[in-house]
Amino acid sequence: MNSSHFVAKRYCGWLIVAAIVLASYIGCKTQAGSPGSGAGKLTVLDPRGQPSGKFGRRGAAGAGMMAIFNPDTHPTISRDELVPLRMAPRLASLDNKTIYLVDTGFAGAKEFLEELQAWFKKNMPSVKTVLQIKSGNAFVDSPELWVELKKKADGVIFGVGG
Amino acid sequence: MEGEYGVPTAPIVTARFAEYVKRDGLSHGMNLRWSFPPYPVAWVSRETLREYVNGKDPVTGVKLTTEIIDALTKPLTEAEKNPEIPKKPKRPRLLDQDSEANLHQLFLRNGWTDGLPIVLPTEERVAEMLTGTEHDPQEVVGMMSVTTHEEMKEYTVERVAVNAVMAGARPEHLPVILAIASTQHPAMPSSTGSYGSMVIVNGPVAKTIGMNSGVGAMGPFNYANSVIGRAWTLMSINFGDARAGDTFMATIGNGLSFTNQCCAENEGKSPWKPFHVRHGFKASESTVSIFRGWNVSTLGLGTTNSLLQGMKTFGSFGFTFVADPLAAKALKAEGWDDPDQLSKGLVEKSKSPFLRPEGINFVVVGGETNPIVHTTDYVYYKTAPVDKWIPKSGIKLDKTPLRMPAYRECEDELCILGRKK
Repeated sequence: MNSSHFVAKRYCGWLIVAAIVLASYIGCKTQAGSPGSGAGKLTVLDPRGQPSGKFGRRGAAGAGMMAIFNPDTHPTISRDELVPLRMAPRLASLDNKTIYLVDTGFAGAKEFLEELQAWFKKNMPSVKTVLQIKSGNAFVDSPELWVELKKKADGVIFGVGG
Repeated sequence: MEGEYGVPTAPIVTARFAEYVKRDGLSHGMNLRWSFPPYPVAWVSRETLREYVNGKDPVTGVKLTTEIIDALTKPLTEAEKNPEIPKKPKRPRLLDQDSEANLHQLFLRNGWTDGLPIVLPTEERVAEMLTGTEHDPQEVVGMMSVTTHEEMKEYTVERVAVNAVMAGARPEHLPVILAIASTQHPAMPSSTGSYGSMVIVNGPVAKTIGMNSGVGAMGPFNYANSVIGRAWTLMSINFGDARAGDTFMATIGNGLSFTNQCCAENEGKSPWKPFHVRHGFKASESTVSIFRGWNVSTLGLGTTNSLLQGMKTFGSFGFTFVADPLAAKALKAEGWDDPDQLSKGLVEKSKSPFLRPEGINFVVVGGETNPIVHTTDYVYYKTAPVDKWIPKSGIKLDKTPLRMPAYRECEDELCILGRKK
């Protein structure tokens, strides 16, 4: 083997190594895919919806139970109309007060409230409790009941959701 | 009661819903004083309820009755006196760049998928998906929520396209997916019961995009049926904000929710007018119709008595029968030339004071392997047009549209009966 053969073989080897490196680099670029992205990185879009400023609210009195599960009949209220809830002043104590226990219509609520009523009778006998079943279903307004509560109740226990 | 009537209240909800009601209230600026007994309250003994009343709130560790009394008597805090409604920030259009593997993890970890692999919605893929319609990508399609009171999420044509890409859909499917999105119905509203939903596609679009209305139409045998149904679920998760145990409270969940029950009506084999025509559309128009309920029984036969038996078993206030064409033909042979007439007949025969003819619906689906009827207690909600979302040049089909193996139709009915008439 003469020296020119040796030099040619040596350079040929380097060329092959360079070609492999270049090919793998191009391969990586191709896999990275999206133009404009960093090497190996993708840009994807956010799949989530945007806050709409619209909230669902309870159904009108007399509406069917499923009315709020239908976007065509479910009443909404916009953020601008929504007023933060001002809580009512609290009672100094429950002594001699009338407390309504309102069954909102979920299964087991009436029985639970009856037990709670029994507890008041035994442990706080001066408290007058009235068990009231809410009219309509759990998801609709009951304006006549609210008026009655305003007139007769010092406080209201609502339950039992779940 | 609190704000308008000035009466102090103590609301009670079971501990399982503690996070749900607290977050729901705060998003409206309602600092209610909740008490949380253990759960369940329904169908447990009196002794158990008494123990709940005498015991502690498992969330706060405070004696339940003390908590209820405090709710009515403890003076208001400054935060309670000055409630605020927090404003949720707008979401970005693009997410931070990352590797494919990390983005898949991000979507999974954030609960933006159904748990199955998705196609990542890159800008290129979403842009390609948007060629399926001529509507402005930023046009608002609607808003949705799986809850009844939380802030609804608004979505544009582009965000629908993002979810369509994730579901594995192609531009040809986008008009149908947009039509579903336009109904604003989540496939999975939050209820402790586990809803199932169904979407029936009518009109020429079904054939153009290769939907199945025949053998196995509601099973995993058709690309269009699967990805359109799946896109509805992904939209319900991402637009409806469905998060299990947080906003979504179906205690068991429903396997039908992965792709819903999504197929075309078998208009060619039905002896009746197509469903959408019976609801005011022309046969030449394409539509989606939305149904929802809880119960599905897949083994009924197409006779009037069998339908009545199914109704009696479910005892619901609404029904949708999914009838194989053979069953529909058998019902027609019994004298029911028109499904509306049949609905009236079933109400009369059932003698139920709660049923109305418009609450009993029929769609014809199936490949005539037997006169089977699926009885469902699904309520029909609405039909929405697909055509408004289709480009003027027509459905944007791929050069070689992706299609799964199609079942063999028996045009002469010989392969069904195995003999000549």
